[in-house]
Amino acid sequence: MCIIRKKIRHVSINHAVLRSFQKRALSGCLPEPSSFPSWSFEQRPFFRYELVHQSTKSMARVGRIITPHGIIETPSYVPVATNAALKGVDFRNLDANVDQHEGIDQYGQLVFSNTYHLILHPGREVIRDAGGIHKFTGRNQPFITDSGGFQVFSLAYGSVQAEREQHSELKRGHTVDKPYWSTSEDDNEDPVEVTEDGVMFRSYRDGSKIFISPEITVDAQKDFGADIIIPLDELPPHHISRSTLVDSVARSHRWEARSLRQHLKNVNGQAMYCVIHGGLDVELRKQSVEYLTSLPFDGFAIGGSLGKDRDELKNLLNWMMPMFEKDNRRNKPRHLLGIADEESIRHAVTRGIDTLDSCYPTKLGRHGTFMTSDGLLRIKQGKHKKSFGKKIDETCQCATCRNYDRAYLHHLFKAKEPLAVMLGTQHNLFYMQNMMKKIRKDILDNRI
Amino acid sequence: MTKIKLLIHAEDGSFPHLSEYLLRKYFNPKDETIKDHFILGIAVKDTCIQPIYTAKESKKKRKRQESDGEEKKVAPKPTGYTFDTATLHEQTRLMEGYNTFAVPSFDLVDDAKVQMEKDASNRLKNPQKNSTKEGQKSIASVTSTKNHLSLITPNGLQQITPELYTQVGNKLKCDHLLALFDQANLEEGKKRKAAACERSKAWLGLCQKSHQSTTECKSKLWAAFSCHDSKWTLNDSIQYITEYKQSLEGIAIVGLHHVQSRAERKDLVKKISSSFNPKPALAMLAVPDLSQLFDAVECGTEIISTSLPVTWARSNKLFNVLKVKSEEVGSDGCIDLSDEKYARDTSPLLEGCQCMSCRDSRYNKAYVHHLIKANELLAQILLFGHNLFQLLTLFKEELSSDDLDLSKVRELYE
Repeated sequence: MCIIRKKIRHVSINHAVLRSFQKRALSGCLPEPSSFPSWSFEQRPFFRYELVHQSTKSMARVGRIITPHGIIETPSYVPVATNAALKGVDFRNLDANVDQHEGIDQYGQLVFSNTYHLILHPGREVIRDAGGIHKFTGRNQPFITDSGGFQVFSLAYGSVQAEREQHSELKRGHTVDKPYWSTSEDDNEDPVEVTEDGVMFRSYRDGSKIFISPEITVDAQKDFGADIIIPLDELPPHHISRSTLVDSVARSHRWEARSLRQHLKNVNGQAMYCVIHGGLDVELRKQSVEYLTSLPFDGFAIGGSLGKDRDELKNLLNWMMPMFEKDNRRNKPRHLLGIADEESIRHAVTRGIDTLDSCYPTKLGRHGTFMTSDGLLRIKQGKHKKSFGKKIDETCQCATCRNYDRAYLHHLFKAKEPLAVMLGTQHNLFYMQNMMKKIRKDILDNRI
Repeated sequence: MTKIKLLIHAEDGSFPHLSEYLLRKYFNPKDETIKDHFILGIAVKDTCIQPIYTAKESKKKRKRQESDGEEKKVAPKPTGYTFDTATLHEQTRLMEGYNTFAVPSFDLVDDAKVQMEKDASNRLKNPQKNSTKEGQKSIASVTSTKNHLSLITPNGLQQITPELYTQVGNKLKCDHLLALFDQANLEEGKKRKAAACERSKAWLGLCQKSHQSTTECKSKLWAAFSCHDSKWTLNDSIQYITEYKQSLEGIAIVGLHHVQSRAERKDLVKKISSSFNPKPALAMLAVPDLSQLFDAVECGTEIISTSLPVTWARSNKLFNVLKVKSEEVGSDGCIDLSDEKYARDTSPLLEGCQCMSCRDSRYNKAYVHHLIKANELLAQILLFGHNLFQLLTLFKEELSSDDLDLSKVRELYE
C-alpha cells in the first residue's frame, strides 16, 4: 500500500464553512421536530401562557401562566425550596402574600425545588408514594423542579465564582474542595463522569454512586409531580474552548430531546421547559433557540453559562431575547435560570423574561443581609447595634419590618437565634414578591 | 377547678421558632386557651442586658475621627454592660396580650452548668489560650455576694442588685415578677447553701420594698423558694416569706428538679404548701419532664414552667396527648420522627389535631422526617408549634379538668 503524503498547506479559515460545520455538528444525530407526535405540538389543556399586556417601552410583558395548581402572575420571582422546604419559613407565610384578583381562579406562587437533592433524600419513591410533591409538602400551589444537572455539574466544575477565584478554568474533575467521601488516592479522579448516556456522580450524603440520564431524571420528576419540569442538560464551565462548547451544546440538545420524548410518553399534567444553551456565543445560542423552539416544549428556560458578571448577562439577554419574539415563541413563557439579584431582574424583565429563580434572596436573608429599597443592608454590622426603633425598610410592610427593629435583629443574628433566619428569609421573600408586584404595575403603566 | 397554666421559656425574649404570622394565626393572645392556660416567661438575664458606653471616651474618639477627616461613623465598643429595658412589648416586639412572667433566670444552677460545659469545650478547642486554672470548677456554682447576683447573660457574667432587678422588672410591665433569688448547687457545702438562703431572704425584702415604692403599673410580685436540703433553712425561709405574704401573689419553687428523689421532691412541695395559711399560689420553674410535671400538678401547683415543647422539637420529637396507651409513644409522650420507620409514613402527624402543623392534615410524618434529615429549620418550627399546642391541650382538657384522675393520666405515659 502506498501511503500518499500530502503536503499540508496553510489555508485561511473560512468562517462560513466553519459555521456550517458547527451547524452540522449540532444538528447531527438530533431528532427532527417531525419525529415527535403531532398532538404534542398542540396547546396543553392544563398549561398555557396568556399575555395580559405588552409594554410599549420595551420587551417587558405582564402575563399569566396557568398551571394545574394555580395561576402564576408574571413577571414573577421564583424562590428556591431546595429540599422541598424554604429555610425557616412556612410556605403559608409565602403564599399569604400572593395577590388574588376577583373573578379569576386561585393565583399561586411558583416555587422551585431541586431534583438532585430530592433524589438523594427523601428519594423518588417516598414522594411518589406520598402522592407527589404537593401532597408531600402539604402545599397545593405551583411547583417547578429542575433536572438535577446544575448541581451535578457544579460538583465537577464548581461555580463561575469558584473559577474566577482560581483565576483560571476549573479543569474537568477538579473541584475546589476534595469531596469528604473520596477515598481515592488519585486526586484527579472525576467526581462526575459524563457519557452520552448520562451522568454518574457521587451522593454527598453517603458517597454512593448515582447515575442519571435524561430518561431517569424525567421519571424522577414524574414521581415528584411538579407542574413544570426541566429536561437534563449539560452545564459546561464558563471557560472552555469553542469546540468543547459546541460538543456540549450538541449533547444538551440530544439529552433534552430524549427528555422530551420520555416526558411525552406520560405527560401527567406537567409542562416541560427546554433549556437554551450556547454560552456567550451568538451563533450557538441562535442555533440552540432555533432547534429547541422547534420541538414541542411548553416553555423556554435560559440556561448554560450566562456570563461571568452582570454586564455579560445583560449583553447576552440584549441580543438573545429578541429571538423569542418571533412566531409562536411569543406564546410560551420564558424563564431565566439561577439569576435573581435586583439589577439583573430589572434588566431581564425589560428583555421579556417572565420568571426567574434564585436562592440568592433567601441565602442573603438567612445570613443577615436584608434587601431594601435603599440597597442591601448587612444587619450584623456594628453600626446597627443601637439602631433602636429603626426598621429594616421603612417602606416594607412585612412582619419582620412591622414588628422588629434593626437593633433587635442585629442582636438575634449575633446570638445565632433561629428566629433570625426566619425573619431574614421572610423579609427578603416579601421584598422580592413586592418588587415584582411593582414591576408588573410599571409594565402595565408602560413605565418600563 | 384551678386553671393550670403552662409557662414557656421565651428564648432571648422571643417566642421560640414562631413568626408573628404564625403566632397571630395559631397562638393568638385573644384565644381562650392562650388566655387561660398560657404564660410567656421572660428571663431578665437574656432580655434586658444593655451595653454601656463611656461618654468621655466616645467623645474623644469622635474628635479624633473628625480631625482625621473620617466621615464614616464607627460604632463605639461598649465599656461594660448593665440591665435596663423598655416595656416588654417595645423590648421584644412581642404581640400584646400574652400573660407574661419576668424572672431573673429560670434556673441559676442550670445556667452555671451550661456555662461550665461551654468553658470546658472552649478549653478543649484552645488549650493554650485557656490554660489558666481560673474558672476550672468541678461543681457548677452561682456567683453572688451579699449585695448582688451575677447573672450569666449573652454578654458574659453581669452583676445585678435587687433594686436594679426590681426596677427593670417593673419597666418590663409583665403581669408577674419573681423576686431576685440566690441558688446553691445541692452538691455544694453547707456554708454556700446557708449563704444562698440568707441572700434570697434579704433580696426578697429589698425587692418588695423597691416594688412597693414604684408608682407605675405594677407586676404581681412572687417570692422565689430555692430548694433546700436542710430542715433549718427550709423552716427559716418559710418563716421569712410568711412575713411578706400579704404583698406576694404567690411562691415560685426554684430548682426542685435538682432534688434527685421523687419522694423528697413531693415532700418538700407539700411542706411549703402546707406551711402557709391560706395556701399560696404555687409556681414551679424549669420542670424537666412529664413525670415531674404531673407531680407538680398533684402538689397543687398552678403555674408550671418548662422548656419541653422546644426541647422535644430540637430532639425531633412529636408530643401527643394520649387517650389510650400506645406502644409507639415513649414515656415522654413523644414519637421520634427522626426514626427511619417514618421515612415513608404519609399519615398525618396526629389525626384530628388542630395545631398549625396538623390542621387539615397539612403535613405528614414522611415530610417532617425528610425535613429533619435534610437539616431544615422548618422541622423544628412545625414540631414546636405542634408540641406547644398539644401541651396546652393537656393542660386545658386533662390537668385542669374537674374530673381529673391523675393516676390514670400518668398510666398512659408510664
